Amino acid sequence: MIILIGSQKGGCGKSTIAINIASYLAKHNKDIVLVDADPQQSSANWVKDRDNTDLPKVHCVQRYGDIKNTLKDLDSRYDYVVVDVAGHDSKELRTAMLTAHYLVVPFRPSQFDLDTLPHLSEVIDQAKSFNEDLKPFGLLTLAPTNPSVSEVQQANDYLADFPLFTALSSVIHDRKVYRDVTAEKGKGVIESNNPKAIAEFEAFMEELLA
Amino acid sequence: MIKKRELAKPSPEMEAFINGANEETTQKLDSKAPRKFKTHTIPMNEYEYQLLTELAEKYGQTHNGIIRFALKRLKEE
Repeated sequence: MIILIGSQKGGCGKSTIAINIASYLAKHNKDIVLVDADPQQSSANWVKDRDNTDLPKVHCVQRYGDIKNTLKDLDSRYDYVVVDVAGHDSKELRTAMLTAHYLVVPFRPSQFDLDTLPHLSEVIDQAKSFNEDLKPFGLLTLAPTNPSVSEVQQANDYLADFPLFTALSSVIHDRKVYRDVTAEKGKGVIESNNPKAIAEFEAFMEELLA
Repeated sequence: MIKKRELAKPSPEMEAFINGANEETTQKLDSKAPRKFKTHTIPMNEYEYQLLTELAEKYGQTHNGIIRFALKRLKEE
């Protein structure tokens, strides 16, 4: 299965979600490869850190440009292929959409993030004409942990205007532990000792893979 | 035996979709748009700063103007 993490906006937590999906699947003994198609190489650097530990292995491949055939090939060799692309409309994003099974679009509850959804929705619509299997999901990330802030509800209401996306009810909150674990020898949040973060990420993965 | 390789080309529609990402980012840019997109600070040594000052005086431009002028000239080349 190919899980693409993509959006048209940077800073919404794509690489963070990608590496955490990878560590979750690795921890559950899945055969997993992480494809870093973002020249910033955040995911690849995380894998390098992780390689020096005893944590379950995550393989990493770096590819740029047309990555369609690479993903097809990796899909036949691994249980899961997790793809991290740059935060803009790119050749990597579009070619990955042509073969991916799931597209997870992380977005923050911010006007600038939400403003990118109409264009991305059009691109996904075009991609689906070539790849009927593509299932796009909207994932709210970096949400405030303060429950009195209504931004999450407002963002979900906005997402409801785009029926192409399945809005995930799981929400990833803005927790320091997501930043701490990446700096700490290539760990994922699932391998941290933060029960709230573990619970929210497990809920997200269970919902995604249901 | 040497075999001829057939290049597996995507359909024209798929190719247009793939290349759409580049087109959309380059076609819409307006050279006369208000300069609100990005502010860039350039660290300089004394030699570079003097050169910038001299060129700005020579061409009757501001420091920022001479950098923009250089960008335009380089693009034309």
